[in-house]
Amino acid sequence: MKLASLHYQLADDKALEILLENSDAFWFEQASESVHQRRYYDSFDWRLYQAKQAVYSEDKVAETRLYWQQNPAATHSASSQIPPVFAEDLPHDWQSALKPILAMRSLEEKLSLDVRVLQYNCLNRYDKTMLRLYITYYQIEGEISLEDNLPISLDIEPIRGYHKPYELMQARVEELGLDTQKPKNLLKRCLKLAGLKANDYSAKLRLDLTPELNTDSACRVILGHLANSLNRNYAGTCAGIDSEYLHDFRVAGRRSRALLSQVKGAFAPEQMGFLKTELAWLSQTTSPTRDADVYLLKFETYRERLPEAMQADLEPFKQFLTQHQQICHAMLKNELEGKRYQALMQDWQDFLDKETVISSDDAPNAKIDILTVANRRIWKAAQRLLKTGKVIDDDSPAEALHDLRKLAKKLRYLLEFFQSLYDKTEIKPLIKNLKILQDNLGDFQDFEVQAEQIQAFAEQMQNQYRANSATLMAMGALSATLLDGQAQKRSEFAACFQIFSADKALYKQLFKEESA
Amino acid sequence: MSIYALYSIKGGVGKTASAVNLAYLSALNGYSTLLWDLDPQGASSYYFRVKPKIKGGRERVLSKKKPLDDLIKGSDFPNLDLLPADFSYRHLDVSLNEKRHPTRLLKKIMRPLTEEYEHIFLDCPPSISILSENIFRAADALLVPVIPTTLSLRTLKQLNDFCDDEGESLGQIRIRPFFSMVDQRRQLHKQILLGLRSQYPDIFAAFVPYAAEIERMGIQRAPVMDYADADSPSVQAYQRLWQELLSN
Ligand SMILES: Nc1ncnc2c1ncn2[C@@H]1O[C@H](COP(=O)(O)OP(=O)(O)OP(=O)(O)O)[C@@H](O)[C@H]1O
Ligand SMILES: [Mg+2]
Repeated sequence: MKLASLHYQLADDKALEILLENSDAFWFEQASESVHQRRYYDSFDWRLYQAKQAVYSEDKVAETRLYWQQNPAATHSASSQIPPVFAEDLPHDWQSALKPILAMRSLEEKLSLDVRVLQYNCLNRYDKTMLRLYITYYQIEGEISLEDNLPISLDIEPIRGYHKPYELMQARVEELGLDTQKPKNLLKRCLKLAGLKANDYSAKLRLDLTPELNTDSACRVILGHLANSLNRNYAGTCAGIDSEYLHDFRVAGRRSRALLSQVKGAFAPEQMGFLKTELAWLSQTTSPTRDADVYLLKFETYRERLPEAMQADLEPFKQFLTQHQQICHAMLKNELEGKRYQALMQDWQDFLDKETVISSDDAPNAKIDILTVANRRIWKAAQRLLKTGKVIDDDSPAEALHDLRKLAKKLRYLLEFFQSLYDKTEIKPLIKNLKILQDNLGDFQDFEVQAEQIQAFAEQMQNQYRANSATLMAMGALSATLLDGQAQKRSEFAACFQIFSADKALYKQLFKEESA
Repeated sequence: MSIYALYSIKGGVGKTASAVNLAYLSALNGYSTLLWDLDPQGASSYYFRVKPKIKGGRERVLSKKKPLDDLIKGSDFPNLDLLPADFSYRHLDVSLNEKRHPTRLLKKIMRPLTEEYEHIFLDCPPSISILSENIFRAADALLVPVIPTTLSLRTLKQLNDFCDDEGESLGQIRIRPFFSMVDQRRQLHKQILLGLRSQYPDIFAAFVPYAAEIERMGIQRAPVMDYADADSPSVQAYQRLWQELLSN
């Protein structure tokens, strides 16, 4: 029978004296004491934490080890040379579980702990070790005397064939009431003590609007939230550590633009003029880098679209894209670190800070309650989408679907801005179904744009002598498969639209009748 | 998975010292390793501070129904476990003789262990007996310590002849002698060392010198690497022996 190692968490070290009490048959001897650092890693948006996982490293004397706490009962470890940045840097056998969670996001250090481990050996009279005991103290780096508040870990490690001391320790532990085998979430407690908040960032719009709020105030809240989102992603976007900073940065910008164009009359036109033009500029400035990011993110799926024999020929394209992305990003960084962006954010902040009195002629919706405006706007957007989509058939030009995509997007933004005004259980399914339609329309357009753009890239590469005929052929083949993909999406459109339009009654009930 | 038997017809040649140190090195290099102390004297068990006692004695060990697994003790070193000796082993031959296949039992009862361990070292008592026939069948190689004296050479020849005679029935067993307790100050040792290399191609190039440090294992009750300097001749010698064992 193999004995299992035991893990406990103690609130303080009072119990240790009893645990380490010597008996006639054996005694405890401190074998070692070591101090090292533990660093917790997670993505900017806490993806691991949300998935109830933790990845941390510990600097031991001989090596740095990386740990993956998959669940309270299972922690894996592996030797590691450098701090991991992407899921691909993690040990191979962890990747199937962690890649889907982290996707393209990079890891950053979230918290550092000082860890002190005391090892005690339980010896018999021949000085043979029969059991090992590890007591681990944690302390948040740089903090003093918080130690008492953090749990102490007790690990009992049996040695094969030595049952007696093991059973005795079990009895002692039970006597002390340390029956909680399940380790409490140490990270959670540490974050709290360190004054850090997990989930302090989410790309989702997490607003809490009240229906009676005036429309201008509600829009200010939303714009404030979006400005914050831009600020939060600014450093990561400039540094270009992973592509998601820029993605979220752009989403915040787009949402802001959508709010201004979709909720008209909340502010006076002259108030918002600067924001409109400057946000358009921001969108333009950031899009080449985002496009390059997208091609790189999709590269694997591109490769898989080709017959195996052709796949290697695509490699020069990847190199080209990588370089292209770096150039785009360098230019973007330069722009974002310049005066124009600073001025935009400053003006934006000024606008949020001071509420100027404006006449109701200039801003007719400003003092109307937000629920009324939201109902009106959503119902209108839904109606347009329904009407426009209904007349699309197999003979409609591609542009018709592209236009429909824009309408769907507008509706989506409105639903997201104002979802806190409605019953979550009613609005969530609407968004889910709308998303199905959006994905279809999005893919339909993306396939087309990408097929074209890849041909443009191919030409560019050819002009720069960076592609031989095999690569050009592979890229041509890729474009062709993307157009096939587009055709496929087209054939699925009717079904996707059907899913959305089946919600018509719900839209009506939720948004129309209340405004009547 | 490999089973190495430290074996010699002669006593006191360094079987136990080598078994203990090689098993230690195997474990140190990350291989899950078991050392089975088959000598009723229990010297290996002693070096690892494990009581040389098996509940139920030799009959329990030879039982085909109860696994050996439960009798294993963890050593103080990672990856290294011990199957302790028992005084009753001195009559193992008697018990083996009563079985249906007296010379194949060891191989059979060891089978489950071969799944758990990458390397198994057998520390054997000195003799040719039914037990040793079992060992020849179970092990992949016999590691035979040879003190470079004319007498030792004769016993090595004896062992070779025995295995040649049994030939077929012993299967693939390799006999791999190595020099033990070599005193390089002695001309005779040097001569034999050189002379024998040409006769036995399977002989290890590495040899274990005579060293007070190795003798001290009895006082330290630990493998020599645990207390001696990493660059001391005896530690180096065992390391070379281990490397050579691993490489072919
Ligand atoms: N290389 C060495 N240098 C000096 N002393 C050694 C060396 N190897 C072994 N000894 C000592 O010689 C004695 C016999 O060694 P060991 O027990 O290893 O031999 P053995 O072949 O296992 O003996 P037995 O046949 O009694 O089991 C022990 O006291 C041991 O400490
Ligand atoms: Mg011996």
